[in-house]
Amino acid sequence: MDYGFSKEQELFRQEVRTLLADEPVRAAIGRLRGDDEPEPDVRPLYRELGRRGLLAPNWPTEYGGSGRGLVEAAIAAEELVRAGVPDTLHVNTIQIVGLFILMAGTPRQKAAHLPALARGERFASVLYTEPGCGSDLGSLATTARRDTDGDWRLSGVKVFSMKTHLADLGLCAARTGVPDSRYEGISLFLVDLHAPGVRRTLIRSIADEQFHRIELDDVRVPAGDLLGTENNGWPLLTQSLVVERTGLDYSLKAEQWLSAAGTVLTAGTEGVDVDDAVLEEIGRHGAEVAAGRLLTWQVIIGLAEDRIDEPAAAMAKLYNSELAQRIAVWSAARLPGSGGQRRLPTRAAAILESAYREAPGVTIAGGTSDMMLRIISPALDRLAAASC
Amino acid sequence: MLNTRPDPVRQSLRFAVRGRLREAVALAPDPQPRPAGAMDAADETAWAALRELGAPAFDAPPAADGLGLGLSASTAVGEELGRAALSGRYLAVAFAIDAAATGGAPASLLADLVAGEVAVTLTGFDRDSPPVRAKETGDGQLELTGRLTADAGAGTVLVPVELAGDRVAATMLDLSTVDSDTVHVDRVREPSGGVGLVTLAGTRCVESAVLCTWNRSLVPAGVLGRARIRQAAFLLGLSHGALVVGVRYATDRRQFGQPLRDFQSVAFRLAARYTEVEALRLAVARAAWLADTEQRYGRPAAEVLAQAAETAATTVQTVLQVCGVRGMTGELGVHRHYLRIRQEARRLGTPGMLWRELGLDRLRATPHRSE
Repeated sequence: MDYGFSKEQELFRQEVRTLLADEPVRAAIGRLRGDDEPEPDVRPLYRELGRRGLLAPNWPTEYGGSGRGLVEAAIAAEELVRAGVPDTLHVNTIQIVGLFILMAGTPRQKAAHLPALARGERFASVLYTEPGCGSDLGSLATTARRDTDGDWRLSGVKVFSMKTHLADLGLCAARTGVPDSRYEGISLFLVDLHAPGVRRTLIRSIADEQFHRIELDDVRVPAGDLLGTENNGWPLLTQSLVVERTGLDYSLKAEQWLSAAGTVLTAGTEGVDVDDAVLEEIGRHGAEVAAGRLLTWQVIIGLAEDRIDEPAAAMAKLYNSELAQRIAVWSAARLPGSGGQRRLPTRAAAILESAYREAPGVTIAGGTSDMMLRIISPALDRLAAASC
Repeated sequence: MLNTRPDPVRQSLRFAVRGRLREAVALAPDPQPRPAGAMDAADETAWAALRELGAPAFDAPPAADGLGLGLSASTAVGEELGRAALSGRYLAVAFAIDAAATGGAPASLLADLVAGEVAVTLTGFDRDSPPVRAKETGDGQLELTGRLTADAGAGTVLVPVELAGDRVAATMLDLSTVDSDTVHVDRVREPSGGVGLVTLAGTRCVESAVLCTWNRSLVPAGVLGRARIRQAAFLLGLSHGALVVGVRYATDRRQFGQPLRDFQSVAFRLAARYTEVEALRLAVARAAWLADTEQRYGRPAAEVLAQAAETAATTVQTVLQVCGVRGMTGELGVHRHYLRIRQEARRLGTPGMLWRELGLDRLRATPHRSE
């Protein structure tokens, strides 16, 4: 039992912090903060991060990484968010699509895509959800059929993907089997989002980050861009969902939103002038953030040691996303508003204002809370067994 | 290197304790009106088993003939007692040993405590400020004044006493031997489950009754911080034990032609509680590890205690609902967890008090920024 990081890991964290303090990085973060757009273009910042090897440190060097471990990748991800780097593009591009290619891609696919993703030069998006299927991916309707050249033709509609207006590559689930083949007839494709037949439109959301609708109209996908084997997408999909689900991004949201709440509550005052009910919630949320981080790191350490524990991952996601949502909603209801006596700190207040609008989505994206409970429920047996 | 798996030594110790406590659990009586906090046959058997196992020595320093295994060991014992819903007397004795060793108490007292010869009860630690004040009499004694709630049958109590200059003294008093004219015990049924309201009116005690002292502060580490972590482990055990009862019942009990667990309304509630208990398990283990490795643990100690108290209450409520009316009878044994939590959730501070302390500590540590 050891709840600390090794000396090397602490040194790496320090190294990441130093790189994030570089003037070009700080300037790029500053430009985002100064932008009035609710969803500013983060790609210039990501290019700075990519140049410094901060996006995918755990990838092999031949694919743009620096050959470090999964723990170091998570340390870097923590520090990116703490420095103010918006993380959705990182989660989608590196933690989901990049990881998927790393796990299931051919050497050619890895060489073709990963280095540019790691450098922050190209970006990726996830195309799973459809108008008719959300959690139940077995019912997806997008089709992929072979054309006379042996390539694939994809047709269908994908919805609710994020940052897709900035993405170059889509990881797309499509049906290659017969229409009612459910899980057996699904294949996965790497789709060039600049290809003819791809149409992206906006779906307005209450959150800063907007959703997108991607229409695929007979889009040609080269045979070599099938990921894995034909009709074998579902096992890959479930495997990757487990590997990518650590709760880290939600744990960091909870931490960041609680920190902003603390800043709002203490700004402009010498001491702490807060009523008891607010104090209690600050104390409680702080403890929960610390506990949620432990759930997340337990999963990360397991993955680093090739131990996949799906219920533990679901617990980490459930606990941290529900917590982040509670903090955001509580902050909006209980913290001082801009009409009060004190001038609120602009940055922290803006984070909390945005958090409230983002909050409903955190318990839905990446697996709904209900799906997480469904995954955890069978593990109750091991709890009972361990008590004998 | 981060590793959340319990170490083999701690696991062996845990299983040894669990094995010895089985006999005690079998003696647990059916629900019946009796004073809350009183030791029953099961508790006495458990305490005897722990003494035989040498458990009070696990976390005691080697200088006091202890094994020096640290909080990682005593929290494992506390957790097992909680799972079995047995008395937490062991935790009070561990607190007294820690205080006596820290304050340099006489070797004979330490030896008696480590041998399990002194049955201690903790009282008065559930307040923002100590309920008893001390005045020095000049003849090497202290005069104590105040009111506190004691468990039924409490003999030797460890109580926080306020000294001059914001100092607190962990003071050990044998209520059966102090001057009876200055101690009055009212038998009342008060909401926390305590049954004796003890009034000290100038009660005299020797200065050596003070085991150790500390300065009042937010999120203290030291003896009180370590006691908070042990108590959190006990409450974690109560949560865990109750949850296991609920899972087994929901698995075996069939209604509408299927096990209760096949209903999502039941399974999801149990899964949600399991998640909270698992988060707490990690947090308690980390707090113990921080203390054992001499890192800062004051804040984590307060956090895990408050979190453990609330998790225990929520978990046992869910389990009682799942178990239906049987949960209130002696059939499943979970009534013992429910009754035990009432007192133990506030033994070293109510959750509200701890959360406020933590909130203040956290906000004071927030960097003041205008941007």
